[in-house]
Amino acid sequence: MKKYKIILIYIYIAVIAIMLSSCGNYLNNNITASKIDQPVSYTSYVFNKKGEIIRSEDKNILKHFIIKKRYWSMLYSTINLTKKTVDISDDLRQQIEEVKGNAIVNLKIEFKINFFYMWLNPIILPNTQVAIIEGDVVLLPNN
Amino acid sequence: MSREINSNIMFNNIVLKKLAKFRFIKKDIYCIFLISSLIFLNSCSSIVFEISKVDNPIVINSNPFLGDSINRPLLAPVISQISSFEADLSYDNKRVEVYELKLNGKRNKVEKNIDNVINNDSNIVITNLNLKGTHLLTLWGYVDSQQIRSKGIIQTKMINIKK
Repeated sequence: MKKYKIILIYIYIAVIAIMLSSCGNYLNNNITASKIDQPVSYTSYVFNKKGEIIRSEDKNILKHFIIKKRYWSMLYSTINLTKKTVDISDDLRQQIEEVKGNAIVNLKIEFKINFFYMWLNPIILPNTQVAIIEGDVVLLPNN
Repeated sequence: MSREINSNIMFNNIVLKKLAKFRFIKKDIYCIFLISSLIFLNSCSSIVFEISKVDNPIVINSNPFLGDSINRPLLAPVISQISSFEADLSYDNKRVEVYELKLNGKRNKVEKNIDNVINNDSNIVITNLNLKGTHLLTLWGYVDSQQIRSKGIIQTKMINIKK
């Protein structure tokens, strides 16, 4: 009878552990770019002023850029230390103006989590998530 | 047969004796530290959102046209004014090409991919495609799941023809 009790206690502990392990919170980071005038495409295609689809080729690429945006929070995402929604319009505009391009193509966004902070207990220390934005600034013929 | 059983018993006895004598020493602690850090390193991964197989403009902002804002053609919403969509994928450190979309913002309802949305129509364009990257953490600190959710507007182009 005692053995059964011990087994039951183990089962309870296991159930509680599983429940606790699955009730963690989440980190999220929103990326937008609504204020930029020039086209910023995830593909290598944009419209010209006639409305025709044009494809950017290697010769059109002026610059490849990487922008990093970090999001910080404490107690998972209960306390936001930085803004959750990041507008990257200004950064993208700056990239275009630097090389005098007229569009951004091949946009790629990667969301990464920092293992160091995670490993050291996410409850006490702040958590961080990084959004890495990559793309090519191009100068395309607009005829 | 009996020899095999005897050897098994012997082996078990040896293992049990060794286990009984086992005490934590510095080396063991280092081993545990190494294994646990490897597990945690493995659990921290990233998700990439990239589209490479679609031949239409898909833009993060509202303008897929080159040129200045004065002579820019108009865009008009096509599918019930604004058709928002969501795309959820993926896991691990693998690069993910997201072209599978869940339409109308509801999971498990309508599943199409961008190719189906665009359907070889050069007039269709996706604008305001914003991304939200989510990492779900457990209380123990490792990543349980990760997800990229995208939301955008499907539009058709409408050109102002100036004579």
